[in-house]
Amino acid sequence: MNRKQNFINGFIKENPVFGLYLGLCSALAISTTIDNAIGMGLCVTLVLIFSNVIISAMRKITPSEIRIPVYIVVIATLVTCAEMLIHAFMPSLFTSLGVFISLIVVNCIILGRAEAFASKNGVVDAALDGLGMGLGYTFSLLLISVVRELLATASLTLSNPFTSDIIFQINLTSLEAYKISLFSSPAGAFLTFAAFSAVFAMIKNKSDAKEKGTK
Amino acid sequence: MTDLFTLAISAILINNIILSKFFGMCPFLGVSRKTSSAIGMGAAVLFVIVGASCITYGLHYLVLVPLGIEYMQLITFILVIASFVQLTEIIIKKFSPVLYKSLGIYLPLITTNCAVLFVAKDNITQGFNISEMLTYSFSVPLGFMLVLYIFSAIRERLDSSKVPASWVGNPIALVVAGLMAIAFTGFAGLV
Amino acid sequence: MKKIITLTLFLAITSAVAGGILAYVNELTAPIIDGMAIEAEKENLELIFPGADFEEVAFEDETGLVKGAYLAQGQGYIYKVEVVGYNSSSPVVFMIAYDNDANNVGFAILNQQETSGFGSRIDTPEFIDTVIGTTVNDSISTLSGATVTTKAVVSGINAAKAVYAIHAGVTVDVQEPTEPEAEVLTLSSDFATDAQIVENVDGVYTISAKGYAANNTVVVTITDGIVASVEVTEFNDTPTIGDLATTDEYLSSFVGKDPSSQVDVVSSATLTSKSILAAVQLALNDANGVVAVNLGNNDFATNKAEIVSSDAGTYNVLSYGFQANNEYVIVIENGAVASVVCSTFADTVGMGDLATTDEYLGSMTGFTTESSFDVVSGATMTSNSVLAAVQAALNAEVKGE
Repeated sequence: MNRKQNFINGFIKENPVFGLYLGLCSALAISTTIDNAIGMGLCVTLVLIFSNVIISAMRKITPSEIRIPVYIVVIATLVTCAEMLIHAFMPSLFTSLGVFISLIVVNCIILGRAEAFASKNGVVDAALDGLGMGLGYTFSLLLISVVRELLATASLTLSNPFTSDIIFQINLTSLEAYKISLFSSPAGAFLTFAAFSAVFAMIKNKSDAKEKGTK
Repeated sequence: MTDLFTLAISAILINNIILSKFFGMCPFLGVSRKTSSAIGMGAAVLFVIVGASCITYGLHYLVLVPLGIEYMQLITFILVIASFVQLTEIIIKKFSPVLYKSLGIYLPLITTNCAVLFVAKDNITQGFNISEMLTYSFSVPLGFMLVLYIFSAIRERLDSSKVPASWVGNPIALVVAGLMAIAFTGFAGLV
Repeated sequence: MKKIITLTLFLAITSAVAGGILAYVNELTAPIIDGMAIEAEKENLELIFPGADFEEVAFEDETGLVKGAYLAQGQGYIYKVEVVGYNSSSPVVFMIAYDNDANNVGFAILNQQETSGFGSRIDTPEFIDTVIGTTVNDSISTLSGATVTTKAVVSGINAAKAVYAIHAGVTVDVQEPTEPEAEVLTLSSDFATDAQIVENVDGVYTISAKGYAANNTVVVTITDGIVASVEVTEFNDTPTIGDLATTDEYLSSFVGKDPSSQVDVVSSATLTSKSILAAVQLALNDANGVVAVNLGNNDFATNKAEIVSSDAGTYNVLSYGFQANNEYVIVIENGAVASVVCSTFADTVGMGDLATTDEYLGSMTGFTTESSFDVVSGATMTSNSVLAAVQAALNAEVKGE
């Protein structure tokens, strides 16, 4: 598969969250605000890129029998570093993401990509795959959190994680009377996710049907 | 500190690991099509969580803290969990090949089950003593098993109903999960 | 065999490299993270030890009340404590500090939402002065009428003392909070609350008396000049706290008592107790023909109240206070006080004017010649001048009709 195709796949057809149902714990728990979504998404993307690169670079020397524990050590190290750096330099993000930063280590996406792609491909390919999947993940988180934040608080706020200054804010005051706080709760997360999954399934079915139709 | 019973009830019902904390989603959506495999999965997770929690708890307080290397917590915990799951796999394969077959790929995937790592970490974060740690480590997977069982029963019924094409499978399952989550919030005032 | 060794070695080396990287990043970030915790607290720490060098220290606390511990280099230890007092939705947060000789050198309430005038007294010198300067072994007494709040704060202080004991390596005698010295009360004492007779049927008095939050209705039966029975028919104070004073045990303790009998107040239900005591007192006095002192019959002769001018219910009255005449403008409507304003104040600034505050003058709204009154302690003579003026105005209004 050529690089561009692979990259785009990460967004729609093989969207990690809506298509492959990986990395759900964080996706659902975090996506209450777009700040959280972007913060978490970028964190996962960076960890994914670095882990893919390192594992790909090590692929020729890593013995196959212990490859899973080795991947785990690499990923856990990267995640712990990320956690410490975020705690020190982006404290507000650290407070809102909390334990979910550590839980990136068990995010199926990272281990899954390491096993399925990075261990079998070159460094550059692995890096791009990481970028694609990571951005696809961020994209899905953003989708869910835009819906949830709008419906639950009738506003969207984006702030700078380093200084907590607000970059932009959209307030739909006219809709404030209609806000549904259910969407900031877990139940709302499930329902939003269900709706998006159905939409993505629909898109996927249509494109599959088109492919079958042209054969 | 809350007494043990309150801790258990709160872990099973009020702050249910799947419905209010979202941990354990992958097996939740993957294994929950049949009630028998749901129970088997739940039991396996229970065994792993209790075992791994005990080991990681001891590891943290007897090794990491005295040596001042708390930053190694994540690596050591996840390695312990991975090894323990490997051990569980060997045990299940030996004693119940049927269960082993039905669980399939999801058994090694318990390693990446957020719930296991979460409980191991939470025991430390919440500063539990040994009896609280044991109660919590036992109750959380019980809650997991409960929800998994209810969910699989509903899914068995769903499989024989007419669901719109795009919603078949996971999307409709998630709607069910959302409704269950709303129902479980009713437990909020229980303790 | 060789394979296993290679595998284990590989894993071990990878882990070691990983550990090394983590140790490095930890070195980089740990100081920043620790610094953040101190920054957040610095403002509060400086309340006690301004300008000192602070360091967060680890601590062990089984009560869970101590939320933070800091060492001020060379000066002592500061603890941040959070307790739940009377208001269960907002904890009382305070800092308490002990120097290296186990003396209390600082006590500051950071946040409290306790009941104004009652629990909030912990943030006044009345309570603070009983803490600062004590040693770690001294016990602290609770405030009457604010028992729940002060008990909670004292338990928090005790928790901090226990942590201090570990930090400083001393043994501490943790004292339970002591009850304040009990005033000897009889049924003739002043209970500082309003009680009104609603109905009196052959010695069965239905009385409305102000407790903590609202009025309680107390039914007192007087036979032959002594108490036969006491019943609380309407309780409007705090459940589980005030109703400690409505138990059969407490109410039956009044049977057979007369105005000279000693009585008790139920601790932590002080105000509800006092409402019951005031009701019993009122019933006894009425049955025995004792006329309670009220605004109409009190002798204010020394104040030589004199009406200077009057116009349709508004009276300008001169009344002698501590050292001179103060002038008041009093408006009477329908036989009761509508407003009292001090137009000229000639007594001691800082002392007498405690009796001319909006609060005190406003408390007289609705007064009639039957009303009981309070005198502001420390400003007795000025208070009397106000009361004398009000009495004069009320009497003049009655005569004028």
